[in-house]
Order: sequence, then structure tokens, then C-alpha cells
Amino acid sequence: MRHQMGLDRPLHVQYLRFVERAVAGDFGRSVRTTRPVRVEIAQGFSNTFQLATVSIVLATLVGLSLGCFAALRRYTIYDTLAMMTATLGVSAPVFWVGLMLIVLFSADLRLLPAAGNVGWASFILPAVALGLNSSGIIARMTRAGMVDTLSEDYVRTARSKGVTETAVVIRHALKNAMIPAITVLGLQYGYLLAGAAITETVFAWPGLGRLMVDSIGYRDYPVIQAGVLVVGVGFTLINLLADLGYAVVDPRIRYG
Amino acid sequence: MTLRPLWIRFRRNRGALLGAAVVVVFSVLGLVAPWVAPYDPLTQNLAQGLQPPSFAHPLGTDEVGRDILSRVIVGSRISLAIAFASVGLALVVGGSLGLLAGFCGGRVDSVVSRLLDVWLALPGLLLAIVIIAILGVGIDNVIISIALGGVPPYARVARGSTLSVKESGFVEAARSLGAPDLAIILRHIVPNILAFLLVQATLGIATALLTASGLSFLGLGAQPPMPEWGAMLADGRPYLISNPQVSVFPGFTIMLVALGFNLFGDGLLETVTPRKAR
Repeated sequence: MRHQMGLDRPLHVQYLRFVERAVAGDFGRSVRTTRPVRVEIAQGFSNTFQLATVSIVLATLVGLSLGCFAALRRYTIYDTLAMMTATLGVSAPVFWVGLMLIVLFSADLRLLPAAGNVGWASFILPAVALGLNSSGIIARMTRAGMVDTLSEDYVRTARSKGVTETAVVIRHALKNAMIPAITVLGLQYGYLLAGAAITETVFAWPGLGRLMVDSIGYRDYPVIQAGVLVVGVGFTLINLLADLGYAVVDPRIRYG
Repeated sequence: MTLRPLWIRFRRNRGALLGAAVVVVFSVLGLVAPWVAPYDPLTQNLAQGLQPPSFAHPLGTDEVGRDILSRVIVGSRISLAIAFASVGLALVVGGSLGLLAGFCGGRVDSVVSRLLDVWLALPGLLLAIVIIAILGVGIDNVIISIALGGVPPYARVARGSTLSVKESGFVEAARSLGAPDLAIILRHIVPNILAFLLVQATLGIATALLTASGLSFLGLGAQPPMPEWGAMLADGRPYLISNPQVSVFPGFTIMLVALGFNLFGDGLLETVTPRKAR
């Protein structure tokens, strides 16, 4: 058995063998299910990716709107209330909010499915729970950026030219406020991909996070290794995309 | 240095005062928990199981008849201790790394900065889960894993503020008087970057609390029957529909305390780095 799994070889030989196979996409077989790790990971990743994408879109819409709302009414009671809501969103434990959503919408109102990935309706509750923290963070970033840009000279110039208020807000203020927000957006998307473990457990979502937590319970090391690698690579790629996204929003930034 | 002007600026922020109040109340509660909890948090009383809130049990009882209020109170000691310990550890490790990088500069700085880049490539919760996978389940390992995941922000703050403090006149003066590096670091740099690190730490406690209770919820942290908020919440899951009090109150407490630390930290941040005048 030790020889079959290569455990009798020196550590660096074992590691090089792991790298050699991993590059070719071969992570061995799961100790628990004996299916190839690649298949298990691919399936989990696909589910997590869908959930994280729906979540980040939702969180961006909510966060941007709330942040703009607060910035346009800055230093009023509406601003304070909006930012309190955002801080509450940042402070809410995902698992608790998830459970409360299940009690309310699945058990009491019987509107939405509580568990698994069965059609579009089953995305709603987990996406809301997962995106809650991110929407709070995005809202705070957006407000801070908007408050800064709204007092800039070019916004005053645009207003005095007679540009409509909507155009001023969207084209002049928001576009410039978005630059720091994009980094946060990229980071948050990465966190959602990686940090979905808790949400996935609450909603019995067959994703990568839950696969990893389960695998830790079963000491299924091949799956854990591959999962960490996939999430790490994914997280780095998303941050790279976010950095490249700057150049799209801000033509002053050029790479290469 | 007098703190009075800072206090006046802090006091104007009502949210921060509210946060400070929550932080103080729960910190004190954590300290005196065993003496103020009306019941023993571990004593089971099956005849009194799953009672809704009443005069005898203000927050009801759980599935084996333990008083939820007492468990939440004693839990504040455990949950806050985990959060404080992991943030403290991250602060010391990250602060030292950043200080070293900022003070030495050159090759040390590039090595530490690249190390931090790699460190940041793994998101905190995942890193925590991985470390627990290696070290095993338990509170000590939760503290270590959250601390390790939390190091990079402190290192960045420490490095950045060290870089600016290093160039200031009083450091140059101390150096020209022949003060050794260690004395400059301890007497001049540490006191001047500490405020920024502590503000970062206040915000970090909220995150640490959420991560720790999340890990316990997943069964990777505090184990039953220990009254940790995340673990209590997980215990209540089977009775969610019929007896929501078992899960609702611990979860609400986590949110309240995290909110308190976030508001308090935001207030401190605004106080030490005032933005444009209102």
C-alpha cells in the first residue's frame, strides 16, 4: 500500500510527482468516492462558479445603488441609515442569515427551495445570503468614492455646462468612483468563490466549498490538495482580471 | 500627547459611540460571564427541553434543556477570546513583518512584500480551512488559522506607516545622536504606527468573530457542548422550524457584536485619519 501510493519515497520526490501529474490535470482519485479528483472538483467548481457569479452581480447592483443613494444625500439622515444598513450587511453572519431566509421563505411562505441546485429559483436564497457581506462592502466603497468625486471640479464643470443630473452622476462621478471599487469587486468575487463553504453547507449546495469541508472530515487529502490549488489559481486570475479592468474604465491606465 | 481633541472628534460620531457601547458591554460580559449567567451553561435538564422564551428562561432553552441566555453570556467569553487572541497574534506577526520590511527596506522589503503577495493569494477563510485540515479541529487551531489568514493587512499597514515615519525629523534626529536601530524602532517608530494598527485590529476583530463562528458552525472549531455562538447555531439547525430560538439568539448576538466592532473601528478610523472637513 505504501509503495503503491508512493509514500515510501523521499518527500521532494513525492512533491515533484504531484506537481508533474497536477500540471497534466491528474490529481489522482478521491479516497472517499474513488472517482477521479478532477471530476469531483470540476463538478463542485461549476456549481460554486454559478452561485458566486449570480451573487456578485446581485451584490454589485445592490451595493452600487445603495452607495450612490447615500453619496447623493450625503450627511443627511438617509445617508446615515443607508450606511448603517451597509455596515449591518458587513456584520451579518452568512450562516445565520441563510438559516433565517430558509425559515422565512422556504418554511413559512413556501415560496423558494431551501436546498440543492434545482433550477433558477434555488439560486435566489443562497445568492442573497452569500452576496450580503459583499454588497455592504461595495456600498461603502461606492459611497466613499462618490463623495470624493462629487466635490471635484469636473463634476461642477459638467453641471454648469447644463449636463443632466443623471448623466453627471453616472458618466462623471460614478465612472471615476468605480476605479477603487473594481479592486474590491475583484477581491469580493474571489472571496465568494472561495468562501462559499458556509453558504453551501447551509443550503446543501453541491459546490467546491462544501466538497472541501466534507473532504476535511473524511481526510480525503487528494481532493483537499486539488481544491486549494484550484481556488488559489482562480482567486489570482480574478484579481488579474480586475487589474486589467481598470484600463477599460480608465483610459489613462495602460499596460505594456 | 493629550487624547482630548481625538475624543471630541470621536464623540460626534453617534454610530461609533453605539459601537463602543456594544464592545464595552460584551467585553465586560465576557469577563464576568460565569458569575452573571443565571444557569450553568452545560447542565442539561431534559424535562425543560426546547422551551420558548419565558420569565424563567428569557431566551428559551435548547434541545437538552440548557438555558440559552446563560449559554449566550458564557459564549461571549469564548467567542471574544478566540477573536481577540487571533487578532492579537496576527497583529504581532503582521506588525513585526511590516515593520521589518519598512525599516530595513532593500532586499528584506522585496522578500517580505513578495511573501505577502503570495500570502494574499489565498483568501482568509480558505486558508483557515486548509490549516485546520492540517492541524486538526479545535479552538487552538482556529485561533492559529484565523491569525495566519489575517496577517497581510497588518503587515501592509505597518510597512506603509513605517515608511512614512522613518523619514520624519525626529527619527533623523535620533539617528544623528547615535541611537541604535532597536532603540529607534521601539521608542520612535512603534508608538507612532501603533494607532493605525490598533484601528485595523478593531475592524479585524469583527471579521475574526465572523470567521471563527463560521468555522465552528461548519464543525471545524469549537466542539459541542462548548457554548460557542457558531456551534450553538449549528446545534439548533434540526429544530429551526419548530424552535427557532435555539439558532436565532446566538446568531443575532454574533451580528450585534460584529456590528459593534465595525462601527467602533470605523469611528476610530475617522478619528485618526480625518478626511475632508464636513
